[in-house]
Amino acid sequence: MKLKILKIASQTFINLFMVIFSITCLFPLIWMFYSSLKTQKEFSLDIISLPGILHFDNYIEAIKVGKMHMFFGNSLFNSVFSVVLIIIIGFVIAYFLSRYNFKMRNLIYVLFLFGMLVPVHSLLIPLFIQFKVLWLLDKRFTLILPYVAFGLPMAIFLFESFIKSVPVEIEEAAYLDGSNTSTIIFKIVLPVCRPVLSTILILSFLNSWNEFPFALILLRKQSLKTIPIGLSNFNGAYSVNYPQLMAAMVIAVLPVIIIYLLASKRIIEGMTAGSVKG
Amino acid sequence: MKKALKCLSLLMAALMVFSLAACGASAGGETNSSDSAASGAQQSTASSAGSQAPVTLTFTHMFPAGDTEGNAIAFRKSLDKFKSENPNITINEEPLSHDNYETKVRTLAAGNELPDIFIVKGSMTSMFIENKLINPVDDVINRDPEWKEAFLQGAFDDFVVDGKSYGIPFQMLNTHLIYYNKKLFSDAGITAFPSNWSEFTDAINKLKAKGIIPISLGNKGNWVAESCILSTLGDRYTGTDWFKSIKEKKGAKFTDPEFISALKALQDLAKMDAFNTDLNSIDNMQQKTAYYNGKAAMFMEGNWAISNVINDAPKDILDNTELALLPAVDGGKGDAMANSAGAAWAYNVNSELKGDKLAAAYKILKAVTDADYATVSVESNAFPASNPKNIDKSKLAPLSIKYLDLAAKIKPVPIYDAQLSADLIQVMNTGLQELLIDGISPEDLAKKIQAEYEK
Repeated sequence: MKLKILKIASQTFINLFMVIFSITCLFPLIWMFYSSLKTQKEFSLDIISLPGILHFDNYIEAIKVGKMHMFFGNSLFNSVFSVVLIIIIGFVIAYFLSRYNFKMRNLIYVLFLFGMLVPVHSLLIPLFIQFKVLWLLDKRFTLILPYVAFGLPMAIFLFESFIKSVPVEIEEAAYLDGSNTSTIIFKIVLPVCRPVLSTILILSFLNSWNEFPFALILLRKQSLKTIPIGLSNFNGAYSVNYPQLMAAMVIAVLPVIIIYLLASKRIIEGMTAGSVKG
Repeated sequence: MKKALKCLSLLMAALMVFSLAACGASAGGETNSSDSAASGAQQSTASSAGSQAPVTLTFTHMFPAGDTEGNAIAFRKSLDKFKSENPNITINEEPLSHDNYETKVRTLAAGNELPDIFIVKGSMTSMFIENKLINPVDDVINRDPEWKEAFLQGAFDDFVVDGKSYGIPFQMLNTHLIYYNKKLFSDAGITAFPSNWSEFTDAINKLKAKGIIPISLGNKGNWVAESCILSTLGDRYTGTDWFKSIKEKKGAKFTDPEFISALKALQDLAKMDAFNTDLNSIDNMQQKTAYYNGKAAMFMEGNWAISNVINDAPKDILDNTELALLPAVDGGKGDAMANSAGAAWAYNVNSELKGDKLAAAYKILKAVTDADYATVSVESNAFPASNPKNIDKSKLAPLSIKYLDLAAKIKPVPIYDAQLSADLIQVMNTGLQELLIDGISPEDLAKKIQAEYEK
């Protein structure tokens, strides 16, 4: 009896601890959401208090004046295309790097890994000049190029090490059953790579969704700019209209949260799935 | 190991080839297809209307639609008016937020890709002049006496190099103003705003005894203490000649006793608890919160905060808000009405513009800097660089009128961060954060700033 009470007590304690932890993670989001319904006046008097009257004008302003829907569409376009390209190109390159041994194989691998070491800010001006000379500035696809280039090193690194751990026997069996190389790559090896695939998907999506310096430098047309730039437009020189900025941030963040909530089961499943256990 | 070395040398060789190729290629005559399409469309409408030849200009500015400050509102109003009056001029705007503006303009300048019209910062002008990216504006301004005479005294100072002005200013910042609550002052037994330093410290002690924060300070962004307090407090002690000597490297030092006294005075204020204790962890927006709630009697910020106070403060606080400057200090060389002021940013046009385009560009700039613009700007509670033609005082908030009365008496002196190099300001700003929490002595900080200055 005593033991049972102790067990319950310790469990409640641990649970309580975890609940407090998750509140610290969730509170900023909750705070952002209800602050977006306050007026600037309410916000500057007290940053924590709840809104007096629900003030939805901030959202209307964020869309009408801040054009958040346009930035959102651009960000979605860039991110989706970049992620698809990163995964396809990265996976194929990583497959050949890990399964075949050829001349310069190591050089190619090192070259890709080098990309992870280069700080983005040191490349802003050279890349800008390069894009200008090649007439690549201000196009719909402009940002996809650097996003894919900077996303590839990590994707190749993760894919390569994962494919190495996949037994070759599966591919041999498939080969004996009459599959050609592309069937083996896309129908056999790619599904096996699901855990690492979801990691790469999430990381590269977030990277391109949040990317700021390239979007600032390489684009001039307002109609092509992305969400991070759109959000920065709410900052004045000396003051920030916080509630309106919060409303814009809710618009930027909500779809990502919804997708995560819908797909979280899949994402967690993907982490633990695999063809050969143990 | 050997293999790795081989890889590395190959890599370096490849990199060099690429960089050479990038340098060798020169920019051809660029044509923007969408631009020419737009101007083509413009042409057909313009020719049917029988007006002037169509011109298309690119304009990068720092007033995006989401920005609700008075300057941005006035800019957009004036530009919209200009657009409707000049249908033959198409303006392709690129609005950027203030914080990102400098990064982008510096990159564009490095790539020789500047737009037709842009904004330069006082400290950027010498770099732009060396690279022949901008031309002086004196000729254009002198040709139009009405435009020229409207500008305030000292508005061009931040952009003068070798006697020529390299920018058309649109704002006049007074970075130091004391916003104080006269009701809290009289409750504490202070009848008038102190006129000398000992009265000022007395007042602080009286306010403290009442349980009120004397001065609310939010120095998280680390520029507030320097730009809004020290630029003026420093001048009270050193006088303006000292700063001129510093700027022209003619012998003045940051370790001079006058400058050290200024640092010491600032630290003494902190030591006597004149400021709130969390001064380094809140920003300039949050420093006003305590003031709005009646918990602080003063805060120090530039004239841009006027529109914040008008829009955000509760009515009783707003009605009791008065403006003042730091009082004179004992033994100081500066004028008691001196106040750190300047334009900081100004418009200029690309040095490659010619003919119709150049004329159109200056026409646009006139519309966003002249006396008519100033009227719109003042009515939006902002602070233009020219004198407005005729202000309808009934349209203004009482606090704006109080400011205009005070501003007429102010003697402008340099703002440190608008005129000194960015590296020096960085050392000064972070040093002031330490100074305010007694982490460094005034003498040591002065030595540190001087060491950076001598580099």
